[in-house]
Amino acid sequence: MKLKIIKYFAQTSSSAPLAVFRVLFGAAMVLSTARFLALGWVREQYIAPKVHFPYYGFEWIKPLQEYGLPEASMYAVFGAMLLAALGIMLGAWYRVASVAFFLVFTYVELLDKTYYLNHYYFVSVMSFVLMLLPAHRTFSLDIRRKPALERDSVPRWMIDVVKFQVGIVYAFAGIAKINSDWLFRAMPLAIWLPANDTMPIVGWALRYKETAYLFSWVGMLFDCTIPFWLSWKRSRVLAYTAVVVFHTLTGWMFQIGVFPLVMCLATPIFFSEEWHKRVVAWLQHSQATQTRMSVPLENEKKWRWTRYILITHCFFQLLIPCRIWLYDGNMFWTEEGYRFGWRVMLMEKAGDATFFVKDAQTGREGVALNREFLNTHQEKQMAMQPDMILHFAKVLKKHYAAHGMANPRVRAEVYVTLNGRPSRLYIDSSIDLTRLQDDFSQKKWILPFRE
Amino acid sequence: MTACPPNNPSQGGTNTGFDRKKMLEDYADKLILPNYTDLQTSVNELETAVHSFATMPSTTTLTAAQAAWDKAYTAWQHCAGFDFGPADQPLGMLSQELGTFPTASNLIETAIRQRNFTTNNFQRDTRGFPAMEYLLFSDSTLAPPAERVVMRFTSDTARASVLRAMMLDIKTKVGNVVVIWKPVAGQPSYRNGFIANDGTNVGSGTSLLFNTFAGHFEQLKNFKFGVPAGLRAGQTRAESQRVEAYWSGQSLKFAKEHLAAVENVWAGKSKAGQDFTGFEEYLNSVQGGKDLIASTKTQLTNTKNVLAAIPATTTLARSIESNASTVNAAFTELQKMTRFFKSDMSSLLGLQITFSSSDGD
Repeated sequence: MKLKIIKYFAQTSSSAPLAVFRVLFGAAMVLSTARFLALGWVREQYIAPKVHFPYYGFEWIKPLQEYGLPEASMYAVFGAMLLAALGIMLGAWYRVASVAFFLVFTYVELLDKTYYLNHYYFVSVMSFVLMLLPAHRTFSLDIRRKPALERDSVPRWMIDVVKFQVGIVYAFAGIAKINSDWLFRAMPLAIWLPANDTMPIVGWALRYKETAYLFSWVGMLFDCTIPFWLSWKRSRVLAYTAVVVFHTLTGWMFQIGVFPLVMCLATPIFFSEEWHKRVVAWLQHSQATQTRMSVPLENEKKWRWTRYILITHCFFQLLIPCRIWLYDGNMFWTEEGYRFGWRVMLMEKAGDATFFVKDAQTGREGVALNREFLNTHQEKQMAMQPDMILHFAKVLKKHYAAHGMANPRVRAEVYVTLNGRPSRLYIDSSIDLTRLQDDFSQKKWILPFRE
Repeated sequence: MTACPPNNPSQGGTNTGFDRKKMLEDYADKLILPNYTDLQTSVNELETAVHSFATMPSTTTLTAAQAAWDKAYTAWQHCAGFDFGPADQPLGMLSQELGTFPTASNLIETAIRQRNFTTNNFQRDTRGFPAMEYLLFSDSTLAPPAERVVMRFTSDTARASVLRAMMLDIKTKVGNVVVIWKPVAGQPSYRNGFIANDGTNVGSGTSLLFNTFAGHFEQLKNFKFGVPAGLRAGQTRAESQRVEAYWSGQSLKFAKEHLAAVENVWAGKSKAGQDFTGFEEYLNSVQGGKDLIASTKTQLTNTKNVLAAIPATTTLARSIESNASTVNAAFTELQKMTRFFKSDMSSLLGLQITFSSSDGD
């Protein structure tokens, strides 16, 4: 066994897959960042809102203007992100660009959990992995600058860690679909598909209940098994066609942004070394790479620490999504441990939250106007996620205390509907939320899910 | 590769389909356009009455102008919920332009004194129906009622020109909206685009109508009851002078009209009571819809009952001051309705309400 492990880490592979992955991932990030800027979301999501919902332990991370910098500096952050993404794609000053991209992107994601998306989390972890790997030493501008950098082989584990990272997205997404609502009530697809029945070509079929069931089961099987079909040479073409069709279809139907593109550009990592070599050769305008001497990467020792870090990373990547099972109750209802677990497009959930702020001195209680503090997106997300409800209660306490209310108490009447069920009271509506602390322990004030 | 839709989709399979195009067509032709046309007609009548009064202020011409204002403002309650598309005017949405209250009476008085009144600014609380109400009704609830208003107009002619300017502003803005909505043979109209955009994404007819419907309902709850009754967080007392239609004292009547307008949109019912394919029918076609319809109807009845329990013999402002529990009860029932009209409804129908990306697969 030990010998097998040692042998595995001694194996080398062509560096072409890493280079191709770098180019495609970089290109997806360039497009994604440019799109974000073009849609005006920098202002809408990070400059205009008066309130942000930070992640536990990262409350100190704020938009730059809140540190006293000019508002325009948030645009500079996205400008830097765009440049860094270009650097990754072209392999230009790759070490700096990849580290910068990881830091800048992750900084932005940590600003507000309203905008949490699994694919943003994927970008963060993928760029973390990528910045540790020598992905710029084949087909890059860095080689033009310093030809001595060029290598055409890397340890095999460097390719496998990328495959692992892409693979677990599908695996966990698939496992999460094995639940009774998804498989036996065709929920939430039974809500989402008919809402798309005006789509060209396939729209008419989406009206049928049977279509929702078919999509649910096929989706589950697809996610659970696609990494295998992509890795197996004989099914590869069909599998990748399925990836493209699947993601195009979902991208077309649902408002999921660049996610389909990111996955379509990430999955070729499962293709063979030969395929990647051909791509690199074609990109280099058929410069005959085979005729050159093969140059392997520097001695293994230099990469030992990278290996340890990435092994630890993979270990945590397996554990983090599983933490959800440490909590009691319906995960879709409580959402405790829900984030960072590749639970994508799994539920149709919406809430309505009314916050009552009470002046402890006069006993006068009034209803807060959520929209006075939050944008539409924040209000929507907050109303169905316990940690955000708690945070908002504290925001209200602070606001009203600053406006002369002595010791404000905040309680909330929250009603949540899940997968088409009638809405129900979500949390204990009598409890003073400002006295609670957010942490990772079970939130006892969430009322149990009932059918 | 193209797949042909079967001619009769109800054969085989469980067709959960609903004809959104038909729904949007009904909304446009049986509710939105007729309501706007009514508004335009009553605004034209108001203009005639306002001009007679402005030209020759007397208790007779004033009473006529007040009646015409009441009629036009009632018609407005049935249009304020269509706050999208053509309602997007250069200085703000039509609902803000014509319906902002309470009126900044001090600004209006200053403008009259300084003779520099204009509607070309962002002070939306100095124009529209509520501002006109201030001019036509202010102090008329005091004794001697109408004479006092008439006297103010005769003592300073600038008051009449401000009234005229407000009238022109209302008429122009309503006209702008109606002309874009109205179908003209052979030409593209907003009506046709509204119906053609029959998906459920942001910007589709259904999503636009739903959003403004929910927003219109919240206006009633928050600003016609919550704020004047002092039920907003941070308020230390009731502020009865912040009711809608304070000067005419008709707040409760308009609030009831507002609720009726909201119900008409939800149920798909014209002002005259003619039923058509609306959100209720749409909900009836989706999973969980029947339960929601039942809950909504029960809550609508509850809400109407508490509104009916507020004394109609006195003004809403006085009820807030002396009979607060009846008004607070109305707010509570409206609050209970919110989730049925907002989150539950958009969730069951799968409507997109924000532009941002959601979690993909």
